Amino acid sequence: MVQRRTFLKAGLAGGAVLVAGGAASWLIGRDAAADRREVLGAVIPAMLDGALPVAQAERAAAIEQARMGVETAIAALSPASQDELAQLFALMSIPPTRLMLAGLGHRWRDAGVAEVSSVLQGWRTHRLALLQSAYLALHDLITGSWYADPAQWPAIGYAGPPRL
Amino acid sequence: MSHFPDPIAAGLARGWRVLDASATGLPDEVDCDVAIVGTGAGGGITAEILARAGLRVLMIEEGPLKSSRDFDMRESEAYPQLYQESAARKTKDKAINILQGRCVGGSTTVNWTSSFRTPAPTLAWWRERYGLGDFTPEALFPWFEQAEHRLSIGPWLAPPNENNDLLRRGAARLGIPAPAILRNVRGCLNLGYCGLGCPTNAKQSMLVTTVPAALDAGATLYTRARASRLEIADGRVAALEVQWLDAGGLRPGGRRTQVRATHFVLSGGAINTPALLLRSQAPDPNRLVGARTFLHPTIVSAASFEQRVDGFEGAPQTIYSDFFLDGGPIDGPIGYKLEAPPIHPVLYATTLHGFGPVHAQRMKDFAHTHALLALLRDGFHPQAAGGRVEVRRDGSPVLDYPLTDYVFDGARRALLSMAEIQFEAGARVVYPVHELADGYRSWPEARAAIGALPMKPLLLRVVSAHVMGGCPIAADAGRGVVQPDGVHWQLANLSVHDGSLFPTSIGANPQLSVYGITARLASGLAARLTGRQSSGLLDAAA
Repeated sequence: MVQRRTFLKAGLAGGAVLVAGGAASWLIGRDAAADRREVLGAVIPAMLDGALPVAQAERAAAIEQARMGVETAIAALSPASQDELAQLFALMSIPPTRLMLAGLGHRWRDAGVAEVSSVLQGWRTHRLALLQSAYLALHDLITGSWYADPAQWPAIGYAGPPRL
Repeated sequence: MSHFPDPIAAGLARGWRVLDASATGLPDEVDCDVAIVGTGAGGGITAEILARAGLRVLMIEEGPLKSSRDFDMRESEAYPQLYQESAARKTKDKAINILQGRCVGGSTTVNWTSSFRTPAPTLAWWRERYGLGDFTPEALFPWFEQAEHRLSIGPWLAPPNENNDLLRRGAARLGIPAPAILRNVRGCLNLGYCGLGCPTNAKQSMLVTTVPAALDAGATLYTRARASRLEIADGRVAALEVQWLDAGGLRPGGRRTQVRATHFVLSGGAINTPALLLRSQAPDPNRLVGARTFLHPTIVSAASFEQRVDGFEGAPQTIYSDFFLDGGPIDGPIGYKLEAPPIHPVLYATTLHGFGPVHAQRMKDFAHTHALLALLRDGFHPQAAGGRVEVRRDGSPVLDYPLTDYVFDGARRALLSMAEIQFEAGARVVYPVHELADGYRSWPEARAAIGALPMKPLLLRVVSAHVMGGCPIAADAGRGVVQPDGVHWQLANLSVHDGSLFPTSIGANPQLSVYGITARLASGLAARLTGRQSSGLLDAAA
């Protein structure tokens, strides 16, 4: 635990692990799409809990729809932001850093909504700016993509833009 | 897609010289009289004035050319197409989200039409601290008047939408003046989607006014073309390197164009203009380039009302209050301007704090949601010295903007002011946008809670749509990057014509400040380059 804290302090404070502006060499060889899938598959149901349909089949389809929306949103971000996100999703996926950052000893897909929600809640107010900003990035990507979809508008009382 | 007549499609059909670097490519080399980087408020005004003075003008725009036929009022289209970094540009520590345009017309294509002349106290500060003796309201009056005439800036006669009227009613009950905002619109249908590109061409942005006028006068426009580096030799800019962006429009595609010009004008906006100078290693003896970049850090307070508010509908930002700006000395505790923004699903869902059932529940209340903004006036106090633009390894810019206790003090007062106004207007619940804030059901409850909220980056939601400074204009090279005529202190054939000129923030929505001040600078430049008096924006093609 002491070692872990030291690593966090030395490595993560100030975002030192994230290489800004230019692909990080430590990511070479990683499957970035697989990292995103692994993380988003678990974070989306927690972030959108209460907005997603309850019925199992509809819920799975909605989560998949949300994941595609996030993929589209990421592809439109600046290359520098895309690189930072790739590093974030990799850190969240690689078991040792996943354990350190999220306290998850098992894969994201094996974590339930309650467990992921408690990770997110911890990150929102974490003393490490990296984790706070990671929470905010996931928040903005997932909620933004979800409510960009006209299919979600009736639920919030929005009829959509006027027809001209 | 709207079916309104599209002046861009019509102009292209009659032979405008517009080249899309991503689609058709550009020449390897090009010569012109004046190369203008950026087509927003400063670039558009400059292009019209110079092109109509008979100069061969080349406009270079990193974003795409989109127009009313493309503007479908959907955030999923508008943010990726029309905004810097897909409307997710952030400061270095990610604590402030920045909205800036990235398309032909720049931020004017996506702004919310609010038009204010540069406030007199701001000009007085510039005269006193930056030696800008002729920046008086009287000297600038004709230039604001020209811009107002050219861009149909005037009173908005329709009643405010409910989101704005709640500001008016709440403020009135507290005896706080809340007047109407002038708007740059013509034949506006009061739709409320200004931020997503005007689908009816009512907004008199650069996209439908000065850029078309410049093209009609023979100017050339390159789109999806990034000004990457100035080649500097012997106190002059020898050439500008322009990268062709790839088909996605985000990354360089590999090809380049070398632009040679008699004079170069930088109008890429604050952040991008200083970044181009930094990448080019332009002379900067006092390390002023990119420093003192201001944001009007903006704080948000949402509230829920019994009635529908429909903040997505009707002109945004038609009512404001300067009560908390005018009260004290300009360099006293930070002041703030209050406005009521448009409320669209993505903008609101991403701004609203919280996740899971709490967030979902508040989103269900979307149509009953009212929102107020407080824009903090930075740049007038040692603890509001703004941020510094840096260049990342890949050449892209990032703004390092530390939020200080002085700014946070204003943020707390702003959250209090907004909550009180919202309760006076009849709010059921007020939600200060802060990660640790709850929904509050009464003013005493909100007052106590806001008083106890820790004001820290990444807990308090801070946004900005007004980026200013970084290439200040001043009477001497010790205080400014450019001279009072807009010309760079060390580079004789380079000017800066955009919001990065401002030595402080404006203390009001900046578009009209950019229009008026750059109209004056561009007219002076036109006269020097042609040897003839410039008519500025007068008698422009309507």
